[in-house]
Amino acid sequence: MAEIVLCRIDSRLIHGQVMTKWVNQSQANKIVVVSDELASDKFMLEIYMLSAPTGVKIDCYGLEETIEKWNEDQFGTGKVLLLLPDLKSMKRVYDGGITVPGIQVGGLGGAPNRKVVFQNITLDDADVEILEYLSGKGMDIIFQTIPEDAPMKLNDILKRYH
Amino acid sequence: MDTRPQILLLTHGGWGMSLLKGVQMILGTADFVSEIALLPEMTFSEYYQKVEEKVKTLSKDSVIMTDVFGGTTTNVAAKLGRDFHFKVYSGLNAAMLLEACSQIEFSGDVEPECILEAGKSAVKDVVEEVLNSMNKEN
Repeated sequence: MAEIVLCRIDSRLIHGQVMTKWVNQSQANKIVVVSDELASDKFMLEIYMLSAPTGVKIDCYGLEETIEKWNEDQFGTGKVLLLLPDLKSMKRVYDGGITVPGIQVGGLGGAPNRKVVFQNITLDDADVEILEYLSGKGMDIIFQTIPEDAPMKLNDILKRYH
Repeated sequence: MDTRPQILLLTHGGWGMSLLKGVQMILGTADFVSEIALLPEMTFSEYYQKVEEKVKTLSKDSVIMTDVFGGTTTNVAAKLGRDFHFKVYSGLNAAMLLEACSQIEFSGDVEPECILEAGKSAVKDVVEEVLNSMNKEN
């Protein structure tokens, strides 16, 4: 089975910060991207594969397919950076059996109804509900955009939200 | 209406406009260049929508220049370049922009191969190349 060295929630999925910072920091040699949209877009997927650092493999699965792959052989081999676009997907894969010990929230996008809690990270009520659910299961949840910044704990984030 | 090709710059944080200022020191004004900056709080789809709106207004043979291959700027441009049939060049640098601007300025047209070549050949190990060239002459 593969080892999940980092599980990151980032609405931009694969982008500069992830490719240049987190892949190095986590020593991952495989990025598993969870996205129904990307899994069905061969052209964009090819771009991501072309832009991956040398020695880093990229696999992309739809949400349900991710759970199937995990239950089949835990993503095969390697050190995996698991990348999901939002907390809803995270809850789904967690309930589907991918019980990672911790997650890193790196960016959830912006919308008028969302509240900024840390740097550029925003939350809404549905997100908070999921975070509390996952935290209740014993998951360690931190908020961090790049490795140079100190991570922020969920408790402090929730104080800012409420 | 100005039907000259346009140049759309897509950069992280918006450094393309500073680059343009530098290029304008050499070339004078270039009002056919515009930029959409990718800001830290934008998601892929927010940025995509902004760029798409702009791309829809570009005249034929316009080009899109982006900073980092692998970054969101380039990923967005790749998708739109394919769908709207515009050339997309990543690795934006002064020489690339200067070449494209002077083409549009002087001929009202662009030659894609020359723009790409200008961008590529601007990257040099300068001292090394000068020394090598001197050795060849001897």
